[in-house]
Amino acid sequence: MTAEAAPPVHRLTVDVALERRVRRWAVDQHESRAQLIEATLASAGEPAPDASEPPLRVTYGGVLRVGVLAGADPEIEEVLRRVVLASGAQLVLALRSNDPRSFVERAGALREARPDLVLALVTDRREADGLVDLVEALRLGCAERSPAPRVVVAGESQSTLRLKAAAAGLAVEILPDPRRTDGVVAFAHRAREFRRGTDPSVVLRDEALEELARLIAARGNDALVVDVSGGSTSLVRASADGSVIAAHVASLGLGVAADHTVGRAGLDAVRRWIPWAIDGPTLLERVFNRARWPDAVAAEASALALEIALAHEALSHALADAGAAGIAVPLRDAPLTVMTGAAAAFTRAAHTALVAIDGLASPKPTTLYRDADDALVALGALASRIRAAGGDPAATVTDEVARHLVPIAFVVPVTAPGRKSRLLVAGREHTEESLVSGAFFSVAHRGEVEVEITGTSLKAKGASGELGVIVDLRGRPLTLPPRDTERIPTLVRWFAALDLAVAGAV
Amino acid sequence: MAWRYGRWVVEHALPLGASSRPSVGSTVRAGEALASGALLGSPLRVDGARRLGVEAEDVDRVSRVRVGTNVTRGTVLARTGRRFARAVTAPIDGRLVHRSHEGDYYVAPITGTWTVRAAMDGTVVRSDDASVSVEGSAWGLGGIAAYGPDAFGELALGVDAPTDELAPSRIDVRMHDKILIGGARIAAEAITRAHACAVAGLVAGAAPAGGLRVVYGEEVTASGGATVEDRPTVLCLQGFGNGPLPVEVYLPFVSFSGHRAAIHVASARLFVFAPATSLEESFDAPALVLSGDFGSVRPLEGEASFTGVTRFASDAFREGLMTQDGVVPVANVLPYDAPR
Repeated sequence: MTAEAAPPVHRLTVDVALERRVRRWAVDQHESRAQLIEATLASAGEPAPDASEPPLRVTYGGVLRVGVLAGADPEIEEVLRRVVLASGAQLVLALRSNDPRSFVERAGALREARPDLVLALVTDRREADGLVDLVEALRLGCAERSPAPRVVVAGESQSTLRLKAAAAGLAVEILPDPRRTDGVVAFAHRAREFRRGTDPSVVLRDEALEELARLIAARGNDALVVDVSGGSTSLVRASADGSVIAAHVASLGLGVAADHTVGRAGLDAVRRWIPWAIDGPTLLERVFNRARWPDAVAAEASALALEIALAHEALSHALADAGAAGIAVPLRDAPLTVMTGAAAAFTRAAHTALVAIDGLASPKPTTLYRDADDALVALGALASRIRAAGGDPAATVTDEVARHLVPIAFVVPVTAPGRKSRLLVAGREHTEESLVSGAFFSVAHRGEVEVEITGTSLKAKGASGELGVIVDLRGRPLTLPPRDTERIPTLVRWFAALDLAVAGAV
Repeated sequence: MAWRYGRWVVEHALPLGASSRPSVGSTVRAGEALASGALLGSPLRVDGARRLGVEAEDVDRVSRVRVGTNVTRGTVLARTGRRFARAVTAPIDGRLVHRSHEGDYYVAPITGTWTVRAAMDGTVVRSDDASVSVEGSAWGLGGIAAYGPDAFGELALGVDAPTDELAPSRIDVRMHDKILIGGARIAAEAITRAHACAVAGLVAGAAPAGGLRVVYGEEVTASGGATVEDRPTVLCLQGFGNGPLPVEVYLPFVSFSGHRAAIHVASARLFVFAPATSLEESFDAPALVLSGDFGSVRPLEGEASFTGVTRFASDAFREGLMTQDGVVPVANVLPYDAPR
């Protein structure tokens, strides 16, 4: 009897960028199957000790500042927003042909905005004159800059040629109309090339998230991946057929973008999620210091509460952006929700769950997962790399994705139950908590579960984990009392529902 | 190392409408006017190619005035033909600001002027209508954020110790045109008083974020930002809230007191134009520590030792560092000049 030689193991390294450091995953590949071995924290750029090739780097990519030039038609607004959200770019200026500013003021605004890429979208031949004026303002404002912005022209074919001629002296390319899906994809692809640069080892985080959502959805249920990181927030919904709806918001986050999150949401909106009284100036100081300290660790409860509050607002504003682009509804009602990024890495799963439940305010039951150690993001990046090379990543990473996909809770939002309604969890009646408006509680249970509320149409199947089945009767949209005397006890009750003690920090 | 003597390239972004700027190779001095230009009103568009009866690409050939030139009403912008001449003239006094690809002219009235001043002693290494870069040698100290326009003046101490807060009562009109060193903190009251007393700029370990909002508006961010309007200039060296300066950073301020200096806001950097030999010893600044609640940034003082994975009050399990003020996460300790 002779022993058969073991198949060779190929060792890979995947570096998932945090803010200043990276989470380094060692990955073994046996016969085209990938297995995550262990993760460590390392400095960005630190060589991997035992890898045979350079690490696959999952990064946020460079910041792409996008300016948009468009006609006056209000219906085009959604298209523009969808394009920018799909690309992960930062919208720095949107100029419409009916903008009341003068030619010189438009040019000045474009110079101050310093766009890297300008999308000129013309949807109708009658709008071409207005768009040509905007392109002339772009030339006046930015043609002298070094490097000058690139211009992408899209839309009605005759007019795009006119715009291309008007942008003489600037690098111009024509892409498909972004009102069609292929146009959105083409612009996102172009923007990602720009953000990725020339480094062949880079996979953008948004690409990895989209691939991850596809892999999970391919198991049969639509999946939503929610990524709240230090410097960006993404929502990606994938369907079993492989189609993806995505919103990647570049300047919302709980870390290095904390100040932008506060700028967007307002200080009071962030403060309302903190379960104790804190004055605005003190909070703002902490926000600013966090924003300028990459990978800072919240050592005290007050700093952790700030990060949780920032995550709430980053998520709800990313969702609002998606709403303005007309894609919010499918991003809120997926049966599977996977949290990734910094909001998934809180020590307690309950903190992640609160961010997901309150930030998304999903009206439908969903099974909640979290990727606390970036394992799923690393697998998404591997899959993205395989797909980019023309392969099918399913055989390589599907098993490993399934291994790391562990549910933490089954979240069941309930609206207006009858007075005689009863809660049945896995066929057993739960009587400890009342089904009254405003209630928020969890029922201990692990594994597959069916939840039913008698007298209503609610009958949902999902999977629960360490947080059990979370029943949410707080209604949608979720509102918090404005006064501290009512707000703080309300928040403390919600925290307590998930077994989270609230320290009286300030 | 926090303070460093070396060569620096400082970029000055220019607004639209530059009319004079130095050529590459010219020498400039910090505080001097580097470039100037016109503030432009709403322009008038004048038919060019169509009125002249030429193709758009031929307009260049018949133009009499270069884009960027000041014109008076009636100035001939372009002219064709000899016996049956066709001409395009300026409809108003102002400046020819642009020529479109279709051969039309834009003439804008001049409503004011602007001036950009140099923030570095040195030589112009790049000059175009969008920016001018100056390369020179100086002592430089990087901060994390600066606000307001670039500032120039003589360096002066406003505090007696690196841990002191700059008190408004220490600021008066005798400090006009000086750059004041404010110790651990400068509050909004001190910033506004300094501006009222024509103090050129303020430098401190930290400024309260709320105070910065009061002075610069709700849109202010932790990254700072340059403005062209008349606002106070503030350079935060370490963070926000309270930031006692390390002695190694503060002592050179004492030595440099009385020397010319400039705050370049876009790069959040202080330049002091003192001889390279001004500091007799090298000052290696200690690491900085972000407090566990993110409320302040302070220098790491005394002995420190690793504690391994430690559980913090927030339930976070991270590598810890024992300092004289307790255990802090290693991630919250960074070299003074680490990129942030």
